[in-house]
Amino acid sequence: MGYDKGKISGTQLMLMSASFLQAALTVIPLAVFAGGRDVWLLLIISLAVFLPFVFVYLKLGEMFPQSNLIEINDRVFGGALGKFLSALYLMYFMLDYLYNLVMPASYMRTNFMILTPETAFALSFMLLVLWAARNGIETIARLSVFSFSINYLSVILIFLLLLGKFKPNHFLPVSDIPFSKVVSAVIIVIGKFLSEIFIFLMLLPSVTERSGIKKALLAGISLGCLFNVVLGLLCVGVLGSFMLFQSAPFNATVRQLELMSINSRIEIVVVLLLFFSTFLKNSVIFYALLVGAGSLFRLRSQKTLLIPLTLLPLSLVELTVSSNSMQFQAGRNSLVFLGLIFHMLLPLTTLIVAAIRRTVKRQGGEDA
Amino acid sequence: MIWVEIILLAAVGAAGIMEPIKKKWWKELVVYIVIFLLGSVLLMLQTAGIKLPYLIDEVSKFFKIVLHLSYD
Repeated sequence: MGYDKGKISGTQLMLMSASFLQAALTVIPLAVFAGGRDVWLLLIISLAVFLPFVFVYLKLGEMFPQSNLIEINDRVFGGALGKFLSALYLMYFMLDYLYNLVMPASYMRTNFMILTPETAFALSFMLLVLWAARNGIETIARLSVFSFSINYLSVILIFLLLLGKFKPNHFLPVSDIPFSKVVSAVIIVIGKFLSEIFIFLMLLPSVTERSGIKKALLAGISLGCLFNVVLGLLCVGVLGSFMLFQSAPFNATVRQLELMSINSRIEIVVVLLLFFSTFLKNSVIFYALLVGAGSLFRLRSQKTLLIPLTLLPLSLVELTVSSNSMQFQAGRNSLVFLGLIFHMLLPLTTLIVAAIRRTVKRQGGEDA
Repeated sequence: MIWVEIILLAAVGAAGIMEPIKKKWWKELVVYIVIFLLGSVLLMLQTAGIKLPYLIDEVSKFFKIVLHLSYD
């Protein structure tokens, strides 16, 4: 894989995938929109529905152990079609990267530093991500240990501090939403949140313990999802129906904390969570973009693309969404559907075509 | 303002372009220049005040108008 010969262990893969899914503070409003106070239950249902697709990714990784997604496309679909699909994937990764830059930047501006332009936040995030990607997959994997621990410890601490305000009756009645709404909520949660784990197909060739990939990825997804279930439970238990009117439910939940004189600054915990989780997520996406572009053009070193691939998203930050209100709407009306296409439909098609080609090849060999 | 931007971009661009030139990696150089120019032109167009379409809004419109998929 070009410039980066770094390798990661199964445990690091698990922590990376868990940290990747922890970056859901900005997705929680989407999930709340979809599931109301049953958001925690919908996250569990979505995980159950999504798990078969994880096996699709694992099977693809197993069939092509030394290849990333772009190389798999080349081998399965051949030159022209493979390259076309890979180019589409890279454009989608770029869009996803932009959205994951703009959302936390907008969150920071709206809730904490209203006079600072979003581009300033996005640029600072991008420079950190550039540094991480420049150091390679091993550095990103090592950072995931900190990200994972800090995020979990912060949420557990907040949970304990808010236990007094936690009201079990806020959860009642459980699952009183109609089936059609459950289906659309599950589609939103899978399309915009869970299925993003698909990007790890770009990183699987870097894992040393091939036999432990399945266990590590499944454990990572479960831990990441558990984190979001805890967030959902916390928001519902503390805020109740009030949560439905919040653009940032977790932020509103943390505001309920009363800790003597530091009360007014306790939201720094939210900023820390947002910072660590989105930093890791964006690092993984940017790294995948870098490796993907290098594989697509068959470059000797992807490192040469670090500067142009930082400049291009910077030029697109202001062009991502037209307004704050559109971010939420656009997220569910475009990225959810794009997620379903790129994370589920195309990988499934790739697996089916690869399996057919392999069978035909084997039969051809037997006939000869 | 646009001149400041051009000078900054030229400085950043020159910093990264040296490696492929020194190593005579022409393919890397071409990919570098194409992506860098694309980013630079987009930045300069915005600085010049030219209105460009919003990416995610356009994708949403495509799903809504062409495929009739929407959560509104």
